[in-house]
Amino acid sequence: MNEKTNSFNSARFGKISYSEKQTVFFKDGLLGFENHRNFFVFIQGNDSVFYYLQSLDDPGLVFIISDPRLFVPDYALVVSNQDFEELAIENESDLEHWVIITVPEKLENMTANLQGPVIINKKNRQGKQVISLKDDYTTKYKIIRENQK
Amino acid sequence: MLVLARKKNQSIVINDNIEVFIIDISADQVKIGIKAPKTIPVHRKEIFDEIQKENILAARSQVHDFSGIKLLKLKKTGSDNGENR
Repeated sequence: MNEKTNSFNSARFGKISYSEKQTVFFKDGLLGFENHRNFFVFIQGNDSVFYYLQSLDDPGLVFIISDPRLFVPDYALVVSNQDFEELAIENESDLEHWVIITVPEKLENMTANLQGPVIINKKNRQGKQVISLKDDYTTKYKIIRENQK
Repeated sequence: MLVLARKKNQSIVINDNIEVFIIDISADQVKIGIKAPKTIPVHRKEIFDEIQKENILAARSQVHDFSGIKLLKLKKTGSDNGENR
């Protein structure tokens, strides 16, 4: 495959290169950010568990994202069929899912939004922020638990 | 906005395939039943609001150097997202 590389000037990170397969198109944007449809996913450094979702529509908008199973090993992605259909997800292997991380001033108070995960079809790079149908998940799951300190 | 008065056990039909039932009424709460095709997502409005609010906070996140905490506090399963299940 011929992978084209683009470059974007992020307000937080400066110049970042990304390829087409890192991009994500959110038809509906994200909740509260409906006008931001084009993003790309990137990682800083080598083996971080935190990735970034940078808006291509606004250099200043970037979300920290992560794989929820890294801190909630039994995290269950329960979303409506409609969501899968919208993204044309046929196999579970096409699916990538993330949760958005909020980092307040103190790093140890960082939380993950388990209620509103972001799903991406790896094949067509379409994404959507969905609402977990398992509605006992919180939008503020504290990642760093007391006993792990 | 269309406003309809309904009594207990009455319902409203939307678009031939969605039916909204008034199951029970008490002083400050109504219990509503919704019969709709599986493809139609039904959510409580607060959940939308909460996620939206959280996204706004998330967008204001401080970018830290995470390298110190990752091995210490998180389960180590590599950085791949959901690949090996």
